[in-house]
This record gives sequence, structure tokens and C-alpha cells, in this order.
Amino acid sequence: MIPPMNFLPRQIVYQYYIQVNISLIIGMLVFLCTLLLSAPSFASLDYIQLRSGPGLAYPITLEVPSERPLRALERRLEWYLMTDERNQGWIKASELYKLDTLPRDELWKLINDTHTGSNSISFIAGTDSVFGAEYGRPWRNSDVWAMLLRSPSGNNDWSSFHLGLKQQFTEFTDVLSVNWLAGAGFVYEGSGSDKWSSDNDGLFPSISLGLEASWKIAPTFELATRINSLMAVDNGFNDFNQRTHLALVWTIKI
Amino acid sequence: MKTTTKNILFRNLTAAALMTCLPVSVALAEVELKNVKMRTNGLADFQSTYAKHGMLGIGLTNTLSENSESGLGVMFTGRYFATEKWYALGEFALSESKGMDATANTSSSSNDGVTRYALGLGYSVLQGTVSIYGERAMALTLAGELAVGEQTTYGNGGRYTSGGVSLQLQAPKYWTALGVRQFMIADDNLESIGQNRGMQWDISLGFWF
Repeated sequence: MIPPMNFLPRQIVYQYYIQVNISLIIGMLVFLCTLLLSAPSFASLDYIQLRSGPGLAYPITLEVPSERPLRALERRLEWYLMTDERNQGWIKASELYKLDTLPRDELWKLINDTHTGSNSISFIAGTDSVFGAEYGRPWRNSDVWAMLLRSPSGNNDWSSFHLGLKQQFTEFTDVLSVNWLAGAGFVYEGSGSDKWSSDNDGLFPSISLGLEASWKIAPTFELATRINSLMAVDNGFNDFNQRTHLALVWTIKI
Repeated sequence: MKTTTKNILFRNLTAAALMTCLPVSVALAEVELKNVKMRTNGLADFQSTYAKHGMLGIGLTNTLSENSESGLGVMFTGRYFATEKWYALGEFALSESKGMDATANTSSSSNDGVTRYALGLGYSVLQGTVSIYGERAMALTLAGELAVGEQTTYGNGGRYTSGGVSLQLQAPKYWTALGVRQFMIADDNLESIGQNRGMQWDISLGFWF
């Protein structure tokens, strides 16, 4: 029973207040300690989110505790379809470390498998009715490439095949760069076509020079704008013909 | 230990023996270094998870253009994933074309063969999940596709360019797609009779690889 304050000496009142405040402080400290001690138990309740498809755009359809054993069923690029033998969902390889039950060696194996090769395949579509494909692979500090072009514009059709080198000229950021490429090969002109020679049809020796601005959208995919000039000679190097086209080039790493 | 003649001789002999052994031990160490093998810590023992690199399929295609009846054909398609959203695509189609003969500029009563091959790229604009009964769900993708290639009609070749959309329903083992696109062919002969542009639709079914 707390006596009314008016009937107590001032000293006793102060003592009472101090006791109450000390009790409050101790109580708050106990409460904070309890919170802090209980924090690890919250962390152990981590959930792994799995999606309905291999991409961030697909909705999250499953959440499983990090302690639940999951097994990889299949892979698509950097995404794994995991199952707990009842449900399944997709998870990005970079989030696999959150799975407590996945052995470390298996985790690294799964991550290593997502790394792509260094060879590349490019597709080309340009002005002058040009389209084609290109294969490239690294060689020392450059890339060697083999390029097949075709221009099927009615009766004036021609094709070309070149082998050459591609090297980075300059780099603006990690994703934007300018490359040059040079190669040698031949141009084939179909019968009736006069794009390369008005006198003859057939094969002509040729060189290819190009400059491209490349945008690395992802480690496995690049888009580039390329200006490419093909030069061919005919009649024992007496006739010189040149054609230039502007092209869109999309490259995938395999 | 006293420094006697015997002790000095013993020390020198020990040193000489060790000196003799040194080249042998170095040679053995070299042999051991040359036989070093890359250790994978058991990673190679794990079987790689089955990987889906792309989609292969076969389908029906129909071409609709002015001054020509619709031409039904068969189409083979392939798609290779580059990123989550982007993919490369290739197709080859064989179809019939009933209409005016571009070379003779007359009506053609017989069916003329049209061959087409094209390479391109696609971008998944929408990705989601669909379900009919609620028990099983499948991934659904709506993608924009651009393709460039060559179409040979009446013996003449022209550059084929197309742009359209593809709706893909992706089941675990198989997939099906419905595509609609506008196309254009750079061929003067076809342009003169108004058959150089039009619309195509296709339906295809395939598997993963």
C-alpha cells in the first residue's frame, strides 16, 4: 500500500521515486537481454524462396526453411529446379548458399556448372540485305572468328566467307566497348549478279574490315552495332570493288 | 664432445653422405612435382544436373499475303537461351504458295514450293504461371521475336525479315508455342505482284535439349 505523498517527508518521497526508476531500468534491461538472446532463434527460421520458373519475373510459389533438404532436378542457365520430394521450385545459383543442408562441395559443383564457355556464336542482320552468322573463340589477347554473310536480293545475290581476328579497341565501362575486326576470305557472286563484278561470276578474293560498338547485356549475351566493309578484287587485281554495310550483331556465349 | 681426429672424420663423413643424398632427394622431388595432378576434391565425382539449353520443335505455319491464297507449311524451330529473358532463335520452313507466278506474272495453278530459313532473337516480355485445374501449373512466356533470313519463292531468293510475338506454354518435358508475325521479303519480283509482305502464324510443339 503506497501512502499518499502529501503525508510523507520529502526525503522518503525521493527515495520512493529512485526505487521505482531503478526497478524500471532493471526491467527494461532484462527485456532487452531477452530480445538479444532470442535473436539467434529468429535467424534460424530463415526461409528460402522458390519461384515457378527460371527467372526473377516468375512469381514466388514456395517457401521452405533453410534446414529442409533440397535436391537439384535440372538447370537452366543460372537457375536450378529444386525439390524437397513433395514440391519443387526454381532458385538462382547465387542463392544456393542459403541452403543449410546442401554440402559445400556439392554447392560449388552446382555453381561451377553454371559457368559458360568462352566460344561465341553471333548472328548478323544489316543493310544491303545482308545477314549471316559468325563463330568466335579466344586466341591469346584476341578473338579469332569465322564469318559467313549472305545477301539474297533477288537476282543480285552474293555470299562471303572470311576468317580473321577481333580485338578490343577501347572500353568505356564494364559493359560498353569498341572493337575492331579484320579478316580475309572470298566473296561468291551468283550468276546474273553484278554487285561485285560486271564481267565475271564466281569466287573473288576479299578482305573484311569492321568496327563495332558492343553492349554486354549479360555475361552470356552481347548486342553490337557494326560497320563492316568488304573489299574484293577481280581480273587479276585490276578491278577493285567495295561494299559497306551497317549491321546489328547479337552474340551468345556457349 | 672432444675435438678429436675421430670426431672430425665422423662429422665430415656425415656431411659428405648428406651432400650425396641431396641431388637424389632433389631429383625425387622433381619427379614428384612433375607428377602433380589437379585435385578436384571430389567435385568430379558429382554428376552434373540435367541442363536445359534450349527448345527444339516442329509445327505448322501459314502465310497470308495479298494476291495470294494462304500457304500452309511445315516448320522446324530452335531456340537457345542466352539470358533469363533473351534467346537466339532459328527456323526452317517449307510451305506451298498458290498465287501469281512472279516470273511469268500469271496465275499459277500448281502449288509452288516456298523455302525459308531465318535466324533471330527473342525477348521474353511477360513471364508467369498458368493453371487450368489448379493442381498443376506451367510456365507461360510471351516473347517478342525478330528474325532475318532468306525466302526462296518461284526460284528467286530474297531477304526475309519478320517481327512478331510468340506465346509459349512450357511444361516440364514438352512445350508448345503459338506465333504471329509480320514479314517482308526484299525481292523485286515478289514486290511487283504484291506478295513481298504479309502475315504469318504458326503453332509448334517440341521438347527441351
